[in-house]
Amino acid sequence: MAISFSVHSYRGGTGKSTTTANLAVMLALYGKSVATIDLDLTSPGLHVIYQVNQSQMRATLNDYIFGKAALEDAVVDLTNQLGLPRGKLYFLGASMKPEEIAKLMREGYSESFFKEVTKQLSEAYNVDYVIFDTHPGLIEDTLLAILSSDISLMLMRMDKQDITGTYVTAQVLSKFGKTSYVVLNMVPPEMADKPELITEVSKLLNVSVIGVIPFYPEILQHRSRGVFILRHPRHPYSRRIKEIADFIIKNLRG
Amino acid sequence: MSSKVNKKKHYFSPSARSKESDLRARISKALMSVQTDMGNIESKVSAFEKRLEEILSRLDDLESRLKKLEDLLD
Repeated sequence: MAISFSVHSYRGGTGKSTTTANLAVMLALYGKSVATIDLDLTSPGLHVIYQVNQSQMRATLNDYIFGKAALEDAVVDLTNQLGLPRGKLYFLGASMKPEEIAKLMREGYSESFFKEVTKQLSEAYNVDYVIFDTHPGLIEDTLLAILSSDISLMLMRMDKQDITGTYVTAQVLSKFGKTSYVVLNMVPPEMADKPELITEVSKLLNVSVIGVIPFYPEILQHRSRGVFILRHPRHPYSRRIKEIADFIIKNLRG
Repeated sequence: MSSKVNKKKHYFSPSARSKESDLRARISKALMSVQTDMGNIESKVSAFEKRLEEILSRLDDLESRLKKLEDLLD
């Protein structure tokens, strides 16, 4: 069965969706079959980066969760659309309709959803990885996503609020014995390549740091118009994403 | 050409909720019962930030000394 990841951050605006989209594409470029699921249900954004129109989705993730549509109707195959020369990339997008968002927020999703969707994606599409782009913060549904996936990737910015929130999150996850890793994002450039940074963060959170991504103004200028690493494969950002993908492929097992 | 391996359609059954284990309940319990000592956390984070500042200023100092040395050698 596929390995499932949750990509999480304590704060919003940490670059979760950007990292998820680029990491998924990088894994696909390694020849892997990857499915990404937009679980940031109150403010879905992955479809913007992938440039998927709502009209392209025959059904949404919300429809699938409520048993109204088959997985096959909710999955969008992005492999050709993104021009990926190898690998496969699939996407399950959340609804942007306020009434459907409200319904899901009110009712929450079933604990069995995560295992079931991962199992079904493995059966139907032979995926190697399922990546859940979660809603930020320490809310129950997000913790359910983190704890129900095989591996948790926490994104953290180097500001006090995010460091404190990630610390608290790491403490909660440790109570459940969850395997977690940290990726530092938007790190001030003067700090990014200091080996002490990784040591100090790992020591504080008691979690391994598997990636450090400096702040690149080009990412902001890109304004989520497409997948950055496909447009700028030689940019240092792409190298940083590749390092994280290398770690995942070499080290992580479900 | 379809990339799908298995032609059978896959549905999620929302009624699976009733067969759930107790993870959601355990999360709820953990969140409600956690005794977070924010004072302790803040002091740890502040100490971490101070260490980083020290590391950065030490490196700045090393860099400026190296630059002076290079200027002297030039």
